[in-house]
Amino acid sequence: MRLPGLLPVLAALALALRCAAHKTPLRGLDPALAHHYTGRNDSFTCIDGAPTIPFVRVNDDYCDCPDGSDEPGTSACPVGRFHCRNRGHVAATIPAAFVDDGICDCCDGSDEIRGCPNKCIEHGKRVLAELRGRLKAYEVGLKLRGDHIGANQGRRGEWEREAADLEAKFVGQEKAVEAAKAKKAELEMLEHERREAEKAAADGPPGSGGEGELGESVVVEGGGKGAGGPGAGQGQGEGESGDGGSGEGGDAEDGAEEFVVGKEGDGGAEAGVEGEGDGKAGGLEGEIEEEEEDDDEEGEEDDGGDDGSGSGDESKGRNKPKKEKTEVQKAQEEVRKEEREMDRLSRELDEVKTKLDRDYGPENEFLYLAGNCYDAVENQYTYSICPFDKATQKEGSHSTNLGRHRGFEDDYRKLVFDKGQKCWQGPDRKMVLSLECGAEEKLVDVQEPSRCEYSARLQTSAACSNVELAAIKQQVAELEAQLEGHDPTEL
Amino acid sequence: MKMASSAPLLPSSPPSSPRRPWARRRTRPARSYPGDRATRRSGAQPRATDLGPPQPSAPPARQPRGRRAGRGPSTVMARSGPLIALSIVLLLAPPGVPGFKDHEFKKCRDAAFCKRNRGPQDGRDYTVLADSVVAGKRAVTALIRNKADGATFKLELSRLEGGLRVQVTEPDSPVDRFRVPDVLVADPPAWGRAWEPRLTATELSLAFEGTEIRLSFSPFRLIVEIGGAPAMRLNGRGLFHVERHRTRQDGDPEGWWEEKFKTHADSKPRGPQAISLDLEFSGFGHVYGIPEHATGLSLQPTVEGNETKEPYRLYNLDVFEYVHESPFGLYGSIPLMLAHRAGLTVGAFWMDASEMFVDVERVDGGTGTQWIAESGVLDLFLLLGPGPAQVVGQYAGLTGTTAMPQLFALGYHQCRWNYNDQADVAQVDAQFDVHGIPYDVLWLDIEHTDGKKYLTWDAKKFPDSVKMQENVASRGRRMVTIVDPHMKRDSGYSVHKEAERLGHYVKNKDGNDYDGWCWPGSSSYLDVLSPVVRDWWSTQFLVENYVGSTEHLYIWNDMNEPSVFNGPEITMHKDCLHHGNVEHRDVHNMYGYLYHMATTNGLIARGYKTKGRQGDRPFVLSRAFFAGTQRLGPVWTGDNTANWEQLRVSVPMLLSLGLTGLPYSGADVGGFFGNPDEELLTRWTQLGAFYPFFRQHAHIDTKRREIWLFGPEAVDRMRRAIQQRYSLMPYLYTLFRAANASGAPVMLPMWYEFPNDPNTFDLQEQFLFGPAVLVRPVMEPGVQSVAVYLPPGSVWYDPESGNKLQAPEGGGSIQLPVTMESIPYFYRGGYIVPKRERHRRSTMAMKNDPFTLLVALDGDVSAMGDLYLDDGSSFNFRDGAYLHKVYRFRGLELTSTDWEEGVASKYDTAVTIERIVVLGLPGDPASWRVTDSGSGAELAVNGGPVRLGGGLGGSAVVIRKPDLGVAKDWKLTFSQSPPV
Repeated sequence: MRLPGLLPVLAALALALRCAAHKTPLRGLDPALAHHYTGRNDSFTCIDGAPTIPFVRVNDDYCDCPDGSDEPGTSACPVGRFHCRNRGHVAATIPAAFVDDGICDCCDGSDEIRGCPNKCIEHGKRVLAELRGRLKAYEVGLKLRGDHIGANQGRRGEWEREAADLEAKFVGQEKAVEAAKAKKAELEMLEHERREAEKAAADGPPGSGGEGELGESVVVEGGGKGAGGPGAGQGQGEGESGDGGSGEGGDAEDGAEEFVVGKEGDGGAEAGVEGEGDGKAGGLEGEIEEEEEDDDEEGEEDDGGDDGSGSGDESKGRNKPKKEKTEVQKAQEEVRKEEREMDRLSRELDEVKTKLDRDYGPENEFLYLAGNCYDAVENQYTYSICPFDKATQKEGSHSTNLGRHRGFEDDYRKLVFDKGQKCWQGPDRKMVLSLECGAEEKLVDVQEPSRCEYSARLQTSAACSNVELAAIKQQVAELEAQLEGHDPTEL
Repeated sequence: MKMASSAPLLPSSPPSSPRRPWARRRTRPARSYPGDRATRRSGAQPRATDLGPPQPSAPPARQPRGRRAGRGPSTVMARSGPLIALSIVLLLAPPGVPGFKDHEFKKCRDAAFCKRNRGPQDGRDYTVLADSVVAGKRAVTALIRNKADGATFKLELSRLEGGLRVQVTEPDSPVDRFRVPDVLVADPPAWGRAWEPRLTATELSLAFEGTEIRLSFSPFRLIVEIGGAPAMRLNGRGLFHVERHRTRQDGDPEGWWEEKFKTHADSKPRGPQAISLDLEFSGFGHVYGIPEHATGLSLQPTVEGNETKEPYRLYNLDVFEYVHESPFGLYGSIPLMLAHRAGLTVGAFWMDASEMFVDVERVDGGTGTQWIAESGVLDLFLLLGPGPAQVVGQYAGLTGTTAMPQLFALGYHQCRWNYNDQADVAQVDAQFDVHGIPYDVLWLDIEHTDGKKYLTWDAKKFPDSVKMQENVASRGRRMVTIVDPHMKRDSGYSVHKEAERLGHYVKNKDGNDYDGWCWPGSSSYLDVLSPVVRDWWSTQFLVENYVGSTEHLYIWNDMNEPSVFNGPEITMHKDCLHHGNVEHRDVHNMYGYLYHMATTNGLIARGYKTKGRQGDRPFVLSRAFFAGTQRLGPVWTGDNTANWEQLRVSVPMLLSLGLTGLPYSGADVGGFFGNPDEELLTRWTQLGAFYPFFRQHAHIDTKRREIWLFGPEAVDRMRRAIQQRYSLMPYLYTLFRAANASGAPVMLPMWYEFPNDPNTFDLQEQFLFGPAVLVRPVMEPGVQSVAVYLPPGSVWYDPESGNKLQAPEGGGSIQLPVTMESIPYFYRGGYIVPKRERHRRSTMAMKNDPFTLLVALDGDVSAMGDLYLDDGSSFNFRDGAYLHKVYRFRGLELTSTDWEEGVASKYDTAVTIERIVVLGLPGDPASWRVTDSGSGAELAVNGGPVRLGGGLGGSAVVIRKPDLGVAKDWKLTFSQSPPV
């Protein structure tokens, strides 16, 4: 034994007695609580109210108070707290567990009766320098934030105008659709009447209605391919949407290849599931589904489905001897054209509305991050985060989706992207972005603490707050006072 | 830690050999994973899903192999042929693949030696040649002959302290059969007092100390009678057999000279050499032991009438996602079985390191067992008890006792595959203090190395490993790195180059260095059967040799069965050759033990070199084990899974290890594979706080599970469980001292302490943590109560309220209501438990803390306990530098005296006892007065809580701050005013 265990006990006891007698602070006592420790009537009542003990039992290295208040300066109480004054730095309170355990926790070393070097001035200076740096960043950041909020208003205004404009167009388009439909109905009525008349002329009896239907269907097949066409075309269209994507460069090559895998796999996976009759295949299915989703997205972006149905029509048309389109057919095409336009407007409107409805923070302060992307390089990977859109990991020409915009968490201190590409054997990828005040936007510290769950910090002026600024200012003032006012002999 | 198989990617350079490795390793880019697009693009390596055995001729890119954790097939393929690869996966994937690949492991019917020896067979007709019997005072020799084929063997019986050794060898064989070295602590020629031999024409009788051994000549039988009744019978059912040495003949039966399993051939140049042991435990309805199996404590029959199930298998294997309630062999083997009935416990230890199958069958009036080993000799130790502690002690007398661990090693260990880098280590370390959770050791799994070259560091992630270790050590904590026996065959790896140059590797059947596949890819395996190789390996751990290590770093040996991803049953080929031309077949089950031994010796040497006499005790965790492993360090139950079944099965698994001499053991808290939810992790931590070895660990594919990630409520619960373990640390350390001295288990089955209560013989839902603490962990989700069985006459106390639990008349169960906070455990009346109740962040931080004595009185108002204390780290305790006090409460006096009278302690300390808590005194606690008989001073007494900080008042009699020196002898006298 280097140091007998009794030493701290005796020292604490001596200190307690001395303190009581000389009214100097008790070891480990938070000055804010000093009024509980007057020693009046030579007794002490635990801060929570009971029990009352002789004052000599304060800091006597035995726990009498369930709230730990009789032992501010020893490790005796499980819930005790020890106050370090830390002159030259900021005061701190540590768990009683850390008192006299051989490890220096307070910068002034007061938690270890056997002694620790006082490092508070050193620490204080370092922390002060850091705080001043942060203060500067906050000041710049807050100014920028104000500017951005103004600009954000303008941007919202644009979106609002865009939305109004689209809305108006949409209403107009609704009318155009109505008109086209009306025209089509009228033509169909005429056609119907014309054929009724023809039928009546050929043979009147109602018993031959069946034959008439047959005849009609022949006509419809020729003229109304629209009924069957779009369906067939759509199937094929899905098949081609990937190809459409592949022409667009970027990760198109990958898209194409995966698309093919995905499609083939899709059928296969179903077979697999049936064959196995076992949930284990779920993972596999999931993976393929995920690829399918990606393809769907691509499909939506380039309107592959619609184009596909169009091309389906055309290709079918090409296989048959060309016929003159009837008036009814032309009217039907017109209806479809106008409806497509209406759908397009509706989607655009939805997009703008989504943008408008989205939460950009209490003051829309994060809005200006929308549309921007921030990159950070870590080993062979480049991480790119586009707030309110997506997070990606790029390696060479390949890119992995780490998640789509999900929303804020933790009182606007975190921005979450989820449902990224599924991890082999793991969860969907997810990125949690911590938002920190900074003078300029900077993505730092990208990590993967858990498999396929990523974290990073984005320094942005949008995250600067006046409240925090005030807190930092206060900290700086306190530290400055501590450092200037300290008397080295006191420490 | 882990098993290979979920790993899809091949190491970066695939071998050119046509024997394609199991693609089970996950060398992956830092932030992308197998199966990811990223991996598919950049890796362009095959891997795949498990389709059974490797197909040597299949083109690698199309060859789906390897496995993924528990999810069945997955889809990763080389870029060159995604469609084809995918369709192969889909077409070939076996139906309903669980994580555990049953078909990858042999059954008895797949192992020729088991198949031809299991149950009654022709050709077994053994007699003792009466005129060959030579009966000495402590040893007997005789010849036994198999009349069926004329083969003659030598039988030797020798007297042991508390036991009998039975050896059968083949004297005429030109080839020496392998005899297990390095397991017995000393070769015991003959111990104990002599016996009285009585020889007749038909039998030899040997009597000693209430035991009679009768050797019947025709047929050959050996019967052990204890107290006048038969206890053990060898060859009672005529299943005994030794396959004699022979030379190859045309027309020899299949399986004698070659056998195949899956695609692996075993050349078997030495032919059949199996041994079948027929051992009946007469009058015993319960047998235990022969770990390691994920089964119940009491071994269930494998043969019932005409119905046969798989026998228990002892063959050290790296089993991926093992399942509970299965007799297949796991990572370690201890061929020791205990049999118990009210009034008598006996044991049988067959020292053989080859593959073994054991059948258990209920027979008339007892339990019949058949043990079939593939090779070696019959070297059987019958342990005669008569109680469980004696059997365990007799076994420890043969194979050694538990190594005394350092104090820190009994703390909480935090592990994960993997803590990513130095910043991650610093962060995890700091969070423990932020949340006030005590812990002692932080672990690094395989990803810390440079390309799975053990004893190296990944310089990018761990640029300054020394500083990292020193930082962790600055708060009294330690670190552990993993070091596995497979050595990367990489010309840039100096340790490998030297091992290769020195010829230190196991050879294949053709005499070349064996080349297997493991984490680093192509690997060779140290031939640790050779003492020279072991010594060489030990030197690698000196701080100057293990670059980037410090004296605060300890070691973890994983994969030492050994695991060989492309070997038969994921292990080494049996026809590989070791030092002295020994086949791997002969030594398989002790390979991991010998490797563990070499590593452990390395750490001892390191400590001695840096600190001389103050050098510290080693700490090396091993996954594989054998008889004798207890002398080295702890083991754990390998790669378990995060589910309730595996939580439950951990209890009988650890109890079995304790009974077979290896008490320092634990299971991965939380379950290695899969993600435990908050409830499961909380319950597992509450249970793990009573494991002898307490470590949380997780697979790389799982979510982070450090305690603070589960929210404040869960943190409070798990912190409390861990703090409670730390508060019991003086008691636990004392239990380990008992294990070190006598081989006693730390975690005890109920029957060990209540051997006459048949209700306890099957109990595995509750256990004892040392003799003084009963634990009934909550092991089911969502329960409101649990049942705990209390044996007749026993008294227990609630550790929070101090309330007494009295066993129902004749013993019985009581229902305990539980909440998520509950950790149902009880102090046993009659015991004194030393504690340290101050909350600290590590064991080191507790070193100068005062003690609390918890006195739990029995019905006779008496109790007893002890406290062992030393420097917690060095070997000086072997020279007497320890304190061992015994506390007795009897006749209203509590005394502290030396455990061994007249042995002056060479360890002194000024640490005091700050509280004495007495449970079970009648009347109002405040009515008790206590006087220190030495000084005559009256001590402060009040009614208080059982636990420090347990609130105001309470039913316990608490002596406040007696400030009695823990090193001192003292006596306190209790009286009551007014007297009752």
